[in-house]
Amino acid sequence: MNHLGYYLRRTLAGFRSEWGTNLATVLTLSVAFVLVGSLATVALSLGNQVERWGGADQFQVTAYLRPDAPAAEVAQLGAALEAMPEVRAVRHVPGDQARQRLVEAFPEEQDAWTSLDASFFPGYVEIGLDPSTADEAHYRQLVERVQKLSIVQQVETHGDWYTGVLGIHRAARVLAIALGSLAIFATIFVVAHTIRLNFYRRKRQVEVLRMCGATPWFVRVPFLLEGLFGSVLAAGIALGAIALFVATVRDRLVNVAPVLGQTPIQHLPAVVWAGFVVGAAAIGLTGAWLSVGKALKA
Amino acid sequence: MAAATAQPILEVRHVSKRYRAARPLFRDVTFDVQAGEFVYVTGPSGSGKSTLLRMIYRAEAADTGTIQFCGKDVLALAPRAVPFLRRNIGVILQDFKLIGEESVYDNVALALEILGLPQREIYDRVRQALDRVGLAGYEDIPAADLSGGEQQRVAVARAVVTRPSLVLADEPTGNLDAGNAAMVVDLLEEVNAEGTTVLLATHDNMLIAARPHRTVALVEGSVDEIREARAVEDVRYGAMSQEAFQP
Repeated sequence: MNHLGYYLRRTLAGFRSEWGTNLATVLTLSVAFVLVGSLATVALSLGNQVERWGGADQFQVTAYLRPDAPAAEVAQLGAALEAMPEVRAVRHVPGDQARQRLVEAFPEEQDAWTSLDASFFPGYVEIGLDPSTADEAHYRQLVERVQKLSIVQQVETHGDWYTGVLGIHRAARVLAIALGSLAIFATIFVVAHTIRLNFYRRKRQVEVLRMCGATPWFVRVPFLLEGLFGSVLAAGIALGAIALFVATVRDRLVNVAPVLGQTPIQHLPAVVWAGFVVGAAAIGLTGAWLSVGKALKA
Repeated sequence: MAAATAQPILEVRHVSKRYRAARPLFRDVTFDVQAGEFVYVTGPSGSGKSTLLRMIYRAEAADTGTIQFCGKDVLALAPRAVPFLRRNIGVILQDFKLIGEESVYDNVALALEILGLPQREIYDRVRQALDRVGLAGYEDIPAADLSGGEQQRVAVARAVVTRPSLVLADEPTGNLDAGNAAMVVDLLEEVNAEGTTVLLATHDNMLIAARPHRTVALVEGSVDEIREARAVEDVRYGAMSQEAFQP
């Protein structure tokens, strides 16, 4: 531990003496990390959206009832649906409750909702299928059967939205993984070359150290710390930039595309931040380790 | 000069080195250095003086032979043990080997940082070493801003600050004027007077004449021509001949 102070001083001195190269490297890594972090943010937000629209509710069907639907038939429908093993829940929402829901969801339009005739708010039945027992076929079959009922005027599903968003989510996830892997290799390469450049610029220092009895580890550590600090700094810059971007864009996105909901794009969770920083540290260490190891052998 | 003890600190036995097959640099070099001795290694340029010194601190490998330092064969040391060997040997080179952009203090402190000493002790010992070489007050000056003589004195301070058993000086006066050269040799003699063994490689016959010490001569790399001259009076570089080195 006696060497810790020396390592830190030497690392900072190295950063200062080669500040141009190190700054360029940190910015390059930041760009790569922003790219990966942005894709992770998009993938995560889409994932949440998929979960909200689909996930446990992906087999949810809303059957809008005719205004003149007899209460007895509605009750009969509910009972029949509840008896089906693949149905998780059935809920009848009468017209007045439907209006109330809209008022709660869009309070700024309250006057408009209340002024409209009750016939504008048909009652409906929400049918939730159990994802563990119901599959796509069950879902399609149920929709067809409910649509044929005389008391039902329209059946709404989230299926198309869900399928579309799910596709985008999957693509974003694959892209994030592919670009993330590429970014890992590229950043290791960048760190390795920067550290190797720094190593050769400080060749005399290394020669003096070795002549005075420094172990290879003693020579290596400041370079490893340079790689680690540079990479972690770049990750910090990238995460800060992404957080700022998300905070700035989120509210605007709500206005532009209200269908996406109140949180169309979300901040990366703390565990992802931590993973990002740890990953960046590993990248920095790996790059530096590879280059210094080779240079010391040379 | 401190009285040399009978215990050899360095035993060079049958060491040979060749870079080109047709022309060995030297062959079968054998000599001892007693603890506390001041010994010149001399010979013309290209005779292998620097190579021999580099072998002692394992910066160079030998083709054959052994070099025992404090009873251990340095040529047979495992690579991981080499740094610990070097911590017992102070090295001074003709080109000073300083880190020019770093301060005088940092250059000298480096040798102690490697040992992992506390900062307080490093501070005290660096100040003492710089005071000893006449550079007190130069601590914060970048090494590159010093004159050649001053830089070599920093190198001497760095070599002795760890209190090594042996100091190897490879042409330490080669880049210096007479005044600075004398100052550096004075410093090495002072270090030797306190008990540190000094092995100084030089081809400067004037220096050898002016500062008589035991001399080991490397001449033409032939085993017959490599001799150890124990009597200082026998060795005058300008008058060197095979007869002068007959045992």
